[in-house]
Amino acid sequence: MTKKEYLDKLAKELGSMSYNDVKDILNDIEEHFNESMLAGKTEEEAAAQLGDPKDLAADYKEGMSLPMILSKKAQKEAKPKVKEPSSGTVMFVVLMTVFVAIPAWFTLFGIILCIALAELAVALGSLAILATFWSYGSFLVSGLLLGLTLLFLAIFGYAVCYFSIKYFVLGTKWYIESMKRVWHNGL
Amino acid sequence: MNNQFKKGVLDLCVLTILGKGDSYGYDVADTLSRKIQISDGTVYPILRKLASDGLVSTYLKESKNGPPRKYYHLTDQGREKLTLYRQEWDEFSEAVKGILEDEKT
Repeated sequence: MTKKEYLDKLAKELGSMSYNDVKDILNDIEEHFNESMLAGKTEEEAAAQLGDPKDLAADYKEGMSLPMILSKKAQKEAKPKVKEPSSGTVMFVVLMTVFVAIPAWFTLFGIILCIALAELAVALGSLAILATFWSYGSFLVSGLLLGLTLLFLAIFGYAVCYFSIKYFVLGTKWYIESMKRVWHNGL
Repeated sequence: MNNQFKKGVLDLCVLTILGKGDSYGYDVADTLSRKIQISDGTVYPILRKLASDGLVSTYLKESKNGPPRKYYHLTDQGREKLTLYRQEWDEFSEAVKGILEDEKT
């Protein structure tokens, strides 16, 4: 294999890595080829001694996932974190939770509950009117339109309901996570 | 030699080589592959991993007869790790030696 063939094959095997990583790696291996030439080897010899580009790429990929875990660990170890959060942190988390988060949470929960119940009423009402129209058949256009309007209102309301509940849950999760972070890492 | 077996020790070998002084990729690969049966390529992912862990830093230096070389330098953090790994390795290899000696008798 020539230098070019080797580098091409390696680039292909590295495929899923970022452009910068691949460029960096190819630079290193190209430098190895150049040094091998200077040491009097041929490109073929250098390629053979480097080993299968597939194995090399696999080693690189393995190294990529490992350092991320290691460096996270290292970061944690590097920060000599006090196990006990400082009193300021405790006060912040407690005050924030008791006086802001909990009231806000119940208020939002109440509002969403009201919307959901109102929704249910509207939906039932629209069904009732449609049913009435069906059984008597005499209100004709006005009854039908009213029923349909309410039905669409119900559908729209359910969409609003769905999104508010979704973001309510996401917001709650986010709040808990960020408080945890503050608790562990300080302000 | 068994591949998994080698992998664990190679980090220690590379750190040790760099502990003696800054060096460039080809030199590290050459030094190692002369003594242990490994492909030259093996050291590059290791060097890259050590660099991303902050155990080694890199810099470019002009060479007399070609384009600049990428040199690797053991950082303070790397030196600490080297001492630690070295100690772990010594204890481990002593223990293994002890077990193997016991088996013989």
